[in-house]
Amino acid sequence: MAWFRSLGPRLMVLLTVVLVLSAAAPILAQAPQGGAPPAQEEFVPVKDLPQQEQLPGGPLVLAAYGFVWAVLLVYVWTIWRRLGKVEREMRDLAARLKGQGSGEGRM
Amino acid sequence: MNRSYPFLVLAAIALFAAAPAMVDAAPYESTMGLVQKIFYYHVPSAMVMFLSALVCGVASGLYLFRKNTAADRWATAAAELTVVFGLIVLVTGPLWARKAWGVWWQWDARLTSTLLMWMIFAAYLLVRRFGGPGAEKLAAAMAVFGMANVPFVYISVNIWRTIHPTTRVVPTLAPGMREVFWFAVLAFMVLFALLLALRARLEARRAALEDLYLLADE
Repeated sequence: MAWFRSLGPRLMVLLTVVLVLSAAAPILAQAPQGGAPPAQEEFVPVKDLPQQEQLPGGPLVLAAYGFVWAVLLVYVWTIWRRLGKVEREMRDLAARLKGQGSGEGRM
Repeated sequence: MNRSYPFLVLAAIALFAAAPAMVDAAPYESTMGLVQKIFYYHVPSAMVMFLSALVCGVASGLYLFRKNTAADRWATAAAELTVVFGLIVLVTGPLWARKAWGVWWQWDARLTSTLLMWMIFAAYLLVRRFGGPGAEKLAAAMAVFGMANVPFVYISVNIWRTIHPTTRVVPTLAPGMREVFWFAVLAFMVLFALLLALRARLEARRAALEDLYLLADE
């Protein structure tokens, strides 16, 4: 510590101030620079937004209800189509089996 | 079940035809306004999704532990309906959220767990479709785990911090909204019963067709 004392009182004070400020820099950087923090300044309730920035609810409601109806109708149609396909295949196979059975009967 | 089809079809058509008029007549929610009316289709769809997942899980358990093939057919039907109604929930929710929260999606507990549950049942259908021989049992085990998710998804809003409303909303609905909501729930439940019966019938016919093919091979 002899070298530290040899610097002289003014230089020691200056060095101490610089060290303290360096250590406090992160804390000072986070402290509010007067007034409210940025997040609070940015918040605006939706109803207070200008008219051109407000999102109309009507199209969203229509889109939601339209989607529900579309999905349900498409799903019912796919069940009906798949059922029809299976029934058709069953009829064809049953007819084929019947034909084979009558053919074997004649032999 | 065949005799009840016409009744279920008529009931579902009548209920769904009346629902938009009832929803239109329901009072506006004070803070969200018009967009809150998505609630009347979004929440009943979620209820049906939960019910369908439970049906699928229980039926899959019966198939796994009791070798009940009829239960497996009901499980397949219910899994498909879980995916269909889950899709409705996952699309109508963000449409509502965009206006109410300012964002389409949030990775919070309710939304994320619902998406994961939906993916489990979508995976169930993919495993059954492309899994090859023995995939039915693997899919059934997946369905049991999918069903186990239901209580977690339901109570997630009460346990974790989330922007999604809690489960206290429905029991505390204001008069005027309450009747319309339960009417919509009834409409969705009748439709679910109808679609489940139709879809299970499709599986039963497919099983009969497979038996016929086996008979033809012999």
